[in-house]
Amino acid sequence: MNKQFALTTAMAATLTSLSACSSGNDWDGSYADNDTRVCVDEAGNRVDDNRCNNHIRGGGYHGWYYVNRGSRMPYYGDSVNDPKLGIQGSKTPVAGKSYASAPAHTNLTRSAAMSRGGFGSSSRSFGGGRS
Amino acid sequence: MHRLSLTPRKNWQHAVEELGLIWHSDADGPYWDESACYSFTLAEIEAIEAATEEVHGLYREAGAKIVNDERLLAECGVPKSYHDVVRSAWQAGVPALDYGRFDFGYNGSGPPKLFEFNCDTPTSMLETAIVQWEWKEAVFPKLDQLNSLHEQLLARWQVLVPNIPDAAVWFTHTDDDAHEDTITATYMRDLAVQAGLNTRAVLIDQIGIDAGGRIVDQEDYLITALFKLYPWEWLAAEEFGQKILPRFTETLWLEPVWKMMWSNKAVLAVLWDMFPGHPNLLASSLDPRAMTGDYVAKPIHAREGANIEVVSRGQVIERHGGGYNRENLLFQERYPLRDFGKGYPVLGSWSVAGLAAGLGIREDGLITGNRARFVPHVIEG
Repeated sequence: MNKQFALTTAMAATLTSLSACSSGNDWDGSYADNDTRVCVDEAGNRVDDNRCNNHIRGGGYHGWYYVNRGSRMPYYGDSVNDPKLGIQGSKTPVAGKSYASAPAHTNLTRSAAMSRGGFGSSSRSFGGGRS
Repeated sequence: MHRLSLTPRKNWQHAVEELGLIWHSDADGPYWDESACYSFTLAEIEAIEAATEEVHGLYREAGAKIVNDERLLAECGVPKSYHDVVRSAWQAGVPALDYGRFDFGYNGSGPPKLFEFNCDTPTSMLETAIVQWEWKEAVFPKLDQLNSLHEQLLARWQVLVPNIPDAAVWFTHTDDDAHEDTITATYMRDLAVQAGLNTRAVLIDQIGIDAGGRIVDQEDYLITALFKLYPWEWLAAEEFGQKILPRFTETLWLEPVWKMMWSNKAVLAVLWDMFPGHPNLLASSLDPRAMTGDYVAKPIHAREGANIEVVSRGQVIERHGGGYNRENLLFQERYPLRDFGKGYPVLGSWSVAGLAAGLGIREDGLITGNRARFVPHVIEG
C-alpha cells in the first residue's frame, strides 16, 4: 500500500536545510495560469463575479477587469490598481482573446488586521500545542 | 503482546527523514526507536479496536451530558464565556474531523484501560500513519499492522469538503524548534490538499484580528476555516480569546470548540460517574478521597506528562515537573503497566469519526512524557 503525500516531505526537506522555520505558502497558485477576468468595483477592488454576471442593481459600478496570464491574481478586496500587488491587466479585453473565470483558490477576502499576536503566548510558556 | 529486539536499519535516520520525521532524535538519543517492535495477535488487535470504538461512544454520551450542565462544563475547564459557543457548536453538529488518539494501558491481558483522549491537538500522527507503516513494509513486509490512519483521515477530509467555505482551509501551529508541530500540521494540510481543498499556512502568532473581530492571516485575508494544532484552552485564555467570540461562527474551526468538553482530564470523572465499572475505564474522580488504592494525579489541562504524580501506598513514586496549574486535579486509579524490557508501553489508539484507525506505541517510565520513544508494531497471526 502506497500512502501518497508530498507537502510534508517537501517541508521537511526545507526545514532540514534551513535553520529557520518556514510556514509559507509556496505552493499557492496565486498567479493567473490563463488570461482571466475578475469583477471589480468603481475603486478597482475585486468583488464577487456575481456582481458583474448578474448585473445586480444598486451598490455602484461593477465591471470586468482583464488579468494577463502570468500576473498575480487579485483576491476579494484587492485593488487591481495597487502597485504593491503587481497585478497586470486592463479594463479592456484584448480582441480575439478568451478569458477564464478566476480559480476558486483565489476567492479569498481581504480585511485589515487591527492587531496581531493575540494568539500564541501560551506556547511560549509551555512549548508546542501537541498532545 | 510481546516485545521483539531488532537491529535498526542501516541509515534509518535518513529513511525516516525522507518521510518527514526530522525530529527522530535529540541529544538524549532516538525518539523513533526501531531497535524493537511490539507484536500482537489478531485477537489482541481486535480487543484494542473494539475498546477504541466503545470508548468513543462513551465520549459521545458524555458530551451530550456535559453540554447541558454548567457545572460540568466548568469542571472540564471550559471558561464561562465559552459555554454558549461550545453548546451551539455541539448542538449544530458543526463539521469536525472527529479524530483523536486514545491512550490506553494494556499489558496483553484483560481489557485495554483508558488513560486519556487526545482529541484537540493529537500528535504522533505522521509516525503512526506513515513512518511505522513504511518501516513495516521494509522490515516485515509479510506481516500486518493496525494502521489505516492515513486513509481514514483523507476520507474524512473528503467528507468535509462540501461544508468548507470556498473549499479553503488555513493551517496554524507554533514555530517549534524541533519542527514537530510544523510537520504534523503540514501532514494534515497534505491530506486536505489531496482531498481537493485549497490551503494556506499561518503561524499562530501571525494571526490578526480585524475591526469586526474576524481573524485574518499574515496577508490580511479573512480566515474562513482554520485547522489549528493549538489547544482550545490556550486560545480561549489568550488575548484574542474573548475578541473572537462576537464573530465566532464566521470561521469554521477544526477541531470545533466543543472538543473542549473532551480534551481535558475532568471528563474521565464524568465518564466513570456515568459508566461505573466499565471494563475500558479506570476509576476516576476529582476527589482524592475516592481513591482507595494506588492512583495517578493529573492536572485537568496538561500536556506530554507534565505535572503528573504516581502515588503508591500513599507515597509519590514518580513525579514530572512542569508549569501547569495543579489546583484542579483528576485522580485516576493506577493501571499496572508492564515493563517489557526497556520501559512501559502506552498504546495510542487512533479514532476517526468513531472508527478505530491505527495504533502507535510510546515507551517511557511510569509517566509517558516528552522523552517517550515511539516503538513500531506488527500483527503476527
